[in-house]
Amino acid sequence: MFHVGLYREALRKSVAIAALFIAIMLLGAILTPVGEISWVREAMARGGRTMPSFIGGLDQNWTLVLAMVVQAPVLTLYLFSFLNKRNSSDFYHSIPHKREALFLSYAAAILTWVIGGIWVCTGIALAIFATGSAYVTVHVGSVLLATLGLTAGCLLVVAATLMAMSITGGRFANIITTGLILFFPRTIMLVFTSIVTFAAPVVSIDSFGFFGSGFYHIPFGMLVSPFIGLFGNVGQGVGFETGIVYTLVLALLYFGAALFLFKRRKSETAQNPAPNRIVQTAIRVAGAFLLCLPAIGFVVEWFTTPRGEPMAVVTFYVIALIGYFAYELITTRKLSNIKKALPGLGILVLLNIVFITGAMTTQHVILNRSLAAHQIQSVRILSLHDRWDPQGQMSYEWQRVRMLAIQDEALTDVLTEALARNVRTIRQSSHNTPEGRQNSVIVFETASGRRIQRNIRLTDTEANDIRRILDQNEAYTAARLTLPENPAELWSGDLSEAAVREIYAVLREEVRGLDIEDWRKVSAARISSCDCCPPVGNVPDDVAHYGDLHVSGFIGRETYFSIYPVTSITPRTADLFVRHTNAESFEDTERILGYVMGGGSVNWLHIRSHGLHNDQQYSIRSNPDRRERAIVGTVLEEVQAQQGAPLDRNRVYYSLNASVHMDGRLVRVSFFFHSDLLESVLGWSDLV
Amino acid sequence: MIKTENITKKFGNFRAVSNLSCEIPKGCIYGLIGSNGAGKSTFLRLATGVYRADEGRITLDGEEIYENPAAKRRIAYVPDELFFLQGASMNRMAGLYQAIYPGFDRARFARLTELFKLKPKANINTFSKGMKRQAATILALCCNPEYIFFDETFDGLDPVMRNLVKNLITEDVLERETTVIITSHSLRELEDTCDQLALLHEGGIVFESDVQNLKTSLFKVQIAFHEDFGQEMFAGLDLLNYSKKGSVANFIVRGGREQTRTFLAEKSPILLDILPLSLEEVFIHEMQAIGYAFDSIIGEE
Repeated sequence: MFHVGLYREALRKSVAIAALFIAIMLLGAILTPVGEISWVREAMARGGRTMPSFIGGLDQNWTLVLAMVVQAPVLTLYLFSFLNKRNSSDFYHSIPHKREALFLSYAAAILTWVIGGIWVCTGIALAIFATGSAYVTVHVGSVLLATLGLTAGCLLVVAATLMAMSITGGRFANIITTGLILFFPRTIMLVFTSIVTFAAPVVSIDSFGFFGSGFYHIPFGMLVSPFIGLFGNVGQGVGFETGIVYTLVLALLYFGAALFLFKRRKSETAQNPAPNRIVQTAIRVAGAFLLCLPAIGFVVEWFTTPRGEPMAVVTFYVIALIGYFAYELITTRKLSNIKKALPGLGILVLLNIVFITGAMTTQHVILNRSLAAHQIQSVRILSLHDRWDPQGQMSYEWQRVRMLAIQDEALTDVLTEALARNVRTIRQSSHNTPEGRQNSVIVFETASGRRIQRNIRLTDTEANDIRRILDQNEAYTAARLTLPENPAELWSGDLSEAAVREIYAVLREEVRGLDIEDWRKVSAARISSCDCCPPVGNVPDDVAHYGDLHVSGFIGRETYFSIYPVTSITPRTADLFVRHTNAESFEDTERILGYVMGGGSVNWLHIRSHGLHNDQQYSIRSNPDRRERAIVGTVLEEVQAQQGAPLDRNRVYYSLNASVHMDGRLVRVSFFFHSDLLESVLGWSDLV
Repeated sequence: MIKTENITKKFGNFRAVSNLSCEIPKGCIYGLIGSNGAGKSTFLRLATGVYRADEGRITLDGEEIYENPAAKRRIAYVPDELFFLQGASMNRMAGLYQAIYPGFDRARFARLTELFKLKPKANINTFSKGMKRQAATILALCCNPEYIFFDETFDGLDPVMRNLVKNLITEDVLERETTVIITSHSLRELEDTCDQLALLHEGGIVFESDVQNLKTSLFKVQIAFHEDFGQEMFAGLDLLNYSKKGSVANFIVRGGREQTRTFLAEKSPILLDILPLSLEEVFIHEMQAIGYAFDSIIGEE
């Protein structure tokens, strides 16, 4: 089954190509951590940031993607290229080894280079990252998971290439067939689901689950998603556990199929595009069918909307036809074969008809599937207009809301009526976009246990009705007002962890007792923060904003990330936050202000008024001039006067945020204080 | 012994080998001649396990060859279209053979490369066609196989190298009882090397015989008498291709040379010459006897 001599020989034969890719990845494994550590260290030294950089997934070394995208197929095409030439094919078929020994030994050599390279480079990158743990925090689990995902992807690419090489006998045919084996099924599924969701926008691509997601198939998700922009970031799929398992299982199945085909392969297939006309026709038709997909999309658009584009349909079908005959000509190099390829066009036409009919039928089934309120047992709300995902990760409360099966007749009535209105609009109107500005994603669960996921565009009236109903629903409000109990990570600027935990405990308690409308208006306040300025959120004007608590963790296997603003609607939390901030910052604030008064430069220094002139701000950057030093002097006096005294949040008060590089380190402070002098000292004409 | 029983190999609708049966005894040098497309190379690929026969059976000492490493270990094959790794030297190829064939003899490889004056470290791509053939032959011989197959091997070799290769092959046969199967489209290439010859045409063997037997079984007679005579005078002899010009008759006789001389001498001819035939002439006459035109089959000389 396996021959060490053949394995060694294959390693030796492919060492040059493998070494080239491993050298690139090794460079990435060294330069990425070294670069990241240096960058963060310099940024910290400059005062640009205080937090270590977070590394997860493939951030550790993006060149590893080369292993799957280029190294795996190139090595396979190279090592098994003997199958494409008559003399080499005969040689390897005459050697005293079983076909499976040849296959497994050579495949093992490829996997040694590809997978060995990935893991060795990952190990090296992690080791270098470990030397800079003060500057970089590595989420080892996420890195290993992504590396495992990449490994699964490489296995699948190698297996698909081997399958393709076992049934074709020329380089061009190898490459085209590899592409078809890897991407044809997923592309068909994706285009089908996309066309159906276009024709019936009440269904989302997510509702097709496995069939509508590109993440299950790691090479597909990795390669295709950036081009079509459907699945978010490149590489997101490599850390998706179910996708990794699916890709691994698929890779094993493909390996089995490749071995079977390799054993059955005839040496005489070398230099022929396929072992027989049937396989040749199948490859040609499949390739041309993919080229037909844009035309099919336009045909469906023509059927479902008045925006028919007949020229586009004709153009894409002509391109598909050219591709169809070009493949035959390129692989067989005989003009006479054009005639032999003609009957295959019938299959191509048939496939087009089946695909279009299937998509249109599915659209009709979806639109005809009426959902009466009495059939619905519960609804789950996957998304409403006020869902906000900070940094692209789902917040804790929305993770909880999504899990709720809400049993509320009034809610079901509004949603089923809104859905019926959406369906009516799609079927009756000349365009397929229903009225409404607010998108929602709802899962209806029937008494029989069926789950039907629908996209519903809500009118303002419907959205307000839903909000009103939900605000009265105990389970929903509890989910929205319950903050995570033990988050894995909890931080707020430069505050100590103990202080943040104490503040967070009070915040949890206060939020639980809030009116949901009050909490909604601050919790959905798209807070953004960067390393060079204090956080900015669009909290309402009548609410004072003091800072934010960043919270992340897991619910089951799902991660969450939430940013909770500390505002005047949670006064106990706000007081505690101010007290801890002032207590922890006083000494540094005093030192910074003294340093600046003595002519020291700042990275930035912001003085902000609260409760006056709509929170206006005065900023000093780099070297302060005489006037700015005078202002800083006044601030210093006020800060010293404030020391230890509680802040009366009902009066006008000021906040100071500053970042200074002094005594060989970066010092960042926040401080809250009252002042009767600052308004006149600043001179409001200077307010920015 | 290699035994083929009614093997057939088709490529699409084309039958490259059709219902072919033969036996190649151990320790002999077996020549296969035929024109291009006769099925020689296909037969060799079937016999070396490169191809699987569509019908029939081909065995080596009773064992199937296809996908049988044990049988294939006893075989070496020098094909018509040679294979060398890209940019490889002789040494690199020896490494490949060593990895594949457990019996590869590195010492013999060193001896033979020196004998043929081939540079073991030079890129084989820089070799001439003849040198590449020598290289492939050396590599095959160094596997110390029991059965060795040469496809058009002598093509491209100069006479000196051809003799050197033939001597090596003969040595192997004598010393190690190696069985050698050689194909060629030229009868003259094989007549002084092979023990047994077979003529392939349209995928089948149309004629097969022991070379020594062939050479001695037919001979040419020139004879003349004072009186007029006809073919009936030689009734009792197995005549082929009788012709008469004036008083001199020429014919080919199949049978024992001395018995024929005695038979003819008793008739008191004024001229009697019994001459040996070249192998090619024997082939021509034997094939004519079974209804084939040799020239149209071989289509060379």
